[in-house]
Amino acid sequence: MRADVKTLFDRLGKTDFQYHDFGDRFTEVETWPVFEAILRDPRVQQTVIGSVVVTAREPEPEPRAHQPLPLAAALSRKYGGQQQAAPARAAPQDPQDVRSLLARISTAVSKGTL
Amino acid sequence: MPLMLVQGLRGGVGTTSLVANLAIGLAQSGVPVTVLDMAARSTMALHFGLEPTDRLPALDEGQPNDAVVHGVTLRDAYTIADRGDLAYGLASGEISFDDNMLFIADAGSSDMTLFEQLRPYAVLDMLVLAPSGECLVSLPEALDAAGPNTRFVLNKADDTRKLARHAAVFVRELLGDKLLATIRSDEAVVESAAMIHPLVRHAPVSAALHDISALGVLIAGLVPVGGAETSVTREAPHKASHAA
Repeated sequence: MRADVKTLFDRLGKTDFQYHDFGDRFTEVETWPVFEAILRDPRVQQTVIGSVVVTAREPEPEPRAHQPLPLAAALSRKYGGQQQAAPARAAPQDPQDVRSLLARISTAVSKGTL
Repeated sequence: MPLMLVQGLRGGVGTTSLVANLAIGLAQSGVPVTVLDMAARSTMALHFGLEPTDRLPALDEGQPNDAVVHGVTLRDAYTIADRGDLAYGLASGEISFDDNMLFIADAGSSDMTLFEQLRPYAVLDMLVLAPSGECLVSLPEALDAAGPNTRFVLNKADDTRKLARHAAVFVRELLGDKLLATIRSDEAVVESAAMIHPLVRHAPVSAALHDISALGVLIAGLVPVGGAETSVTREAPHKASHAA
């Protein structure tokens, strides 16, 4: 049980609630084939990478020219997908990207917005 | 003519109940709202507490037949849309709407042609999806056809179910700020239809109603009525259809 939930129950004097924390860590989100299929769809690559998701990312230290599928690769890794899909050149900075992404997700989860 | 189009990416995602409860919430907050019911075999009446056999006045009927329920003017636009007269009338300028009224059109989920015909006239087109694989597979096509005013709403979000939870995370990441809102799954929504009551009367503290109200506040800011500036873009009225 999360500490804040326990504190709340203690304050309420309730000890007999059936409690289950349904929140997932982002890294624990499973790979669902339908997610992968959507990410592989060229229409998603064309419309989403350039306009929605990439602009929400933090600035990259290097040009993205050598990362043809950054969204697919990042999400694929997040959902435990095919590691080999990531370009070899991008490998050294991938941990940073993933850490950055997880940090954002973690912050969102702690704020209750995710 | 602030026209807002709402369409489900797939049947059963809750488009009609969302439109009804959104409209009621907006009307209660002082926004003049007309709902245009364009869905075949619509259940719109139920969500306003009307009998299923009650017939909504057609859009091309005169003012005296207007049905105003819970502050929302209801018009049946299915027939005129099905005939093709609505799209023609809008294109020719023969049909126009009151500038001081927000028109919310429930385009159902099956008629993409109608949706594409009306989209150029809408200041906001909102696509509703549910956290299921069957619905999510429609996303690539929807994203491909999306215009600058296209936004998404994830309905029936349910954190107690694994796929729904993961799908919500996926959709948020994929759509970014194109996702306007996430509305929680709530048994009270289907119960209210069965009770033939609006959700606000059947379950005023409903989680879904809370989320829909928040969406209403957001939409009221995006689509002001009365000729005020909008924060969405006006599309050119001859965009090629992606429905074929």
